[in-house]
Amino acid sequence: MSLPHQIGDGEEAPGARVEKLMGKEETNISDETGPELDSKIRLRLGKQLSAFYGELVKDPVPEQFIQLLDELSRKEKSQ
Amino acid sequence: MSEQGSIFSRETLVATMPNLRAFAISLCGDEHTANDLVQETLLKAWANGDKFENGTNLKAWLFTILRNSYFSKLRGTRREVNDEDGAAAAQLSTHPEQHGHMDMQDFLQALAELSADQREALLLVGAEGFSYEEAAEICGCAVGTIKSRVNRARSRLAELMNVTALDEFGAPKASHSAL
Repeated sequence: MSLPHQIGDGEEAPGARVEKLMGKEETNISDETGPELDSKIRLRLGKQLSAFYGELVKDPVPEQFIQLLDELSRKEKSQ
Repeated sequence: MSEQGSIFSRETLVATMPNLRAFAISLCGDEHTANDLVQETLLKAWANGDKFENGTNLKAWLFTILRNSYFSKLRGTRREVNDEDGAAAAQLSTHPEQHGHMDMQDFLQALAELSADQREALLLVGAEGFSYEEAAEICGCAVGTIKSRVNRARSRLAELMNVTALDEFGAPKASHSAL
């Protein structure tokens, strides 16, 4: 099994970053890293992506995962 | 109380579940596979709780486990199935009407057209709100690579979704006068 490497602290609120990165910031982050989209297109695309993702995040967590976590918690406590 | 228990409290994990699941569904393109990935991630996280450094970003750690599982599966299936990124048959089992006016299925299909690397980068940075640096750590690649993938993903997605710099409803202003 491949284990993830360690990750540093997150320091900024996710929402703030979404807005910044999806085009609400007019300044261009352009560098030699590929094509840059028109800022209006970026903004519109960002809104669509946020709407799409936001709907998925709103979905209720399936019961199977709650049960799994309960089971894991119980096992740990009994050890 | 054990160290593991203090980090992986049931509540902490439950709180990350909606995002973990949203990422999994958008990444692999169907809910069933996504649920398997999430379950695998939870089990691996629990089994390796001692390797998690308290005080670091748990969400990023979980996302790393999930994407590693996804990409190792992808490498496995590529040999058997002639499916470029394993997401060609993208589908949501929930009904579109559950998700408001937005056509979730269209968006999922468009995401599935991206390469897995680009899709992952766009989701981490653009949807989930990780910094480029965090996304690079999660994916185990350079920050510049993430920036490049995000830019390419945005361009391709804009093409696929036919997103243009037109008015709010996506119709060219000229077309109204032409009617």
